[in-house]
Amino acid sequence: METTAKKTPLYDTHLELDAKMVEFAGYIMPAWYPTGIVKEHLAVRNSAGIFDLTHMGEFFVKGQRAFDFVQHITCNDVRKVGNGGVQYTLFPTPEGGVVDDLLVYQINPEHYMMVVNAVNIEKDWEWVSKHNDFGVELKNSSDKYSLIAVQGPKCENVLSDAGFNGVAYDHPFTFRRMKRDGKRVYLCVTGYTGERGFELIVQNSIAPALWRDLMKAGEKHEITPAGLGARDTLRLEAGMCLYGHELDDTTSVVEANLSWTIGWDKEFLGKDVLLRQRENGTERLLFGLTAEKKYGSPRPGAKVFVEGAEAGVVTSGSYSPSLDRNIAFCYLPPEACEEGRELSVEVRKKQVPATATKPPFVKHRLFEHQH
Amino acid sequence: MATYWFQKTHEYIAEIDGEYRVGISEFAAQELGDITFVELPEVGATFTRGDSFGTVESVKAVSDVYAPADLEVTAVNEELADEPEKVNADPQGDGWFIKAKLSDASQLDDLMSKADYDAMNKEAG
Repeated sequence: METTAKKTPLYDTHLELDAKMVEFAGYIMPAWYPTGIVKEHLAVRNSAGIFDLTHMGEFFVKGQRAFDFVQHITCNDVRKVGNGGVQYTLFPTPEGGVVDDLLVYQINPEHYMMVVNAVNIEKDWEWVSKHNDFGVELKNSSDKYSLIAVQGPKCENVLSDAGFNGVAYDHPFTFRRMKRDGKRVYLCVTGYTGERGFELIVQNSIAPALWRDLMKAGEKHEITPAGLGARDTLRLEAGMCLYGHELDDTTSVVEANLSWTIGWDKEFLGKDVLLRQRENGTERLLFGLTAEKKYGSPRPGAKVFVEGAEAGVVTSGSYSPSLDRNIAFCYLPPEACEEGRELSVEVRKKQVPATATKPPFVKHRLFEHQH
Repeated sequence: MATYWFQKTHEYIAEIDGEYRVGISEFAAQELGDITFVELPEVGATFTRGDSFGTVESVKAVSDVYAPADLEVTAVNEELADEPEKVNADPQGDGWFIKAKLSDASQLDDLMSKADYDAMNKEAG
């Protein structure tokens, strides 16, 4: 493969596993393994899947006013999390768009980590640097850290058997800092699948050994390597936004139905336009639809029709392995965002029947334990 | 005894017991990944070489399938409607798309043999 794309420390591991490699956001990543997306997807729902997500970006924010800086640049209220807490949040723009969505990790109020989307690393870095009026020290460590995710109902068993002590999924959206082989590990109770899961952010040098250990420990828990294809179908079923699809610099946090992430009691960059949208409403909202398998899958850009009139657009769409139906995220007029409403959607230039559905399409199971 | 011919866009045409079948190659099925949907034409429809006669959809991609020769559809593989995964399991066997009558069998000479086709994929890979 002639390419300038970056290889993760697990590149050779993926080749040994005979993965179908694709270029994504400047990285060569596994799209799927010979197992195939559907089986990888179902493994995460039923037992466990392991993902290389090293393409994700890691920023560190340090300084006396780190808390103020994070409060200013993100819409969620960091006061809601304590040390060791993780928060889903976004960088809104004053124009009512979104620079990126991300997770913020509070090490302490003077020290944060941010995990951002691979496609946006450079743009985010410019954004945070430009808005650093707080004298904080910013560090882009994206090339130093690997991210391995273990997701699925057996995730705790896998981690315990791989030598992580006292691993429990009792507290989603928390993390611990620890050492493994003398190297820094962030063990995060987070994920992008709707299942119980962990994400391990580790220094590059220990990533291959960690992957091997997790795979070995996972054997008896039916762990399956899963690629970006399954990651996408899992997050779509779980009703989670993907930047570049549901979110971009023209969609607002309110339109994307992410108002729950907005800290209305604090000041932050881009708050004014969101306040106006909360008061006056918006012309569109993010919603979902489902369609029968026999029509093929609605794809991003497909038009959605309400009573025969064009009313919205699909932002992500796929076959859903869990439901054996087609599912899609779409922007619709607020009055059409009603569970069960009949719609039609364009699938390869034909209109096919669809049903408005409130995401998530598959219920999250963060608190269902399986021994 | 079956003979297979392939075209660059990864469809094959096979002559099996005097009948022509068209589908996608093993290589294509593998590249597409899990196939979830196949759209096929009506029996009796006619296509010119290079026309799209259907689509095949995997979890991640939608692809057109192109007629490898001028043809008339004499049968479609109805089982693929309920079991599109057959295309992954046996693309050059049970996972065939259509049976066809060719109006000019000499067009087969313009297609690739299995050996040439395999060589093409190896070079590209």
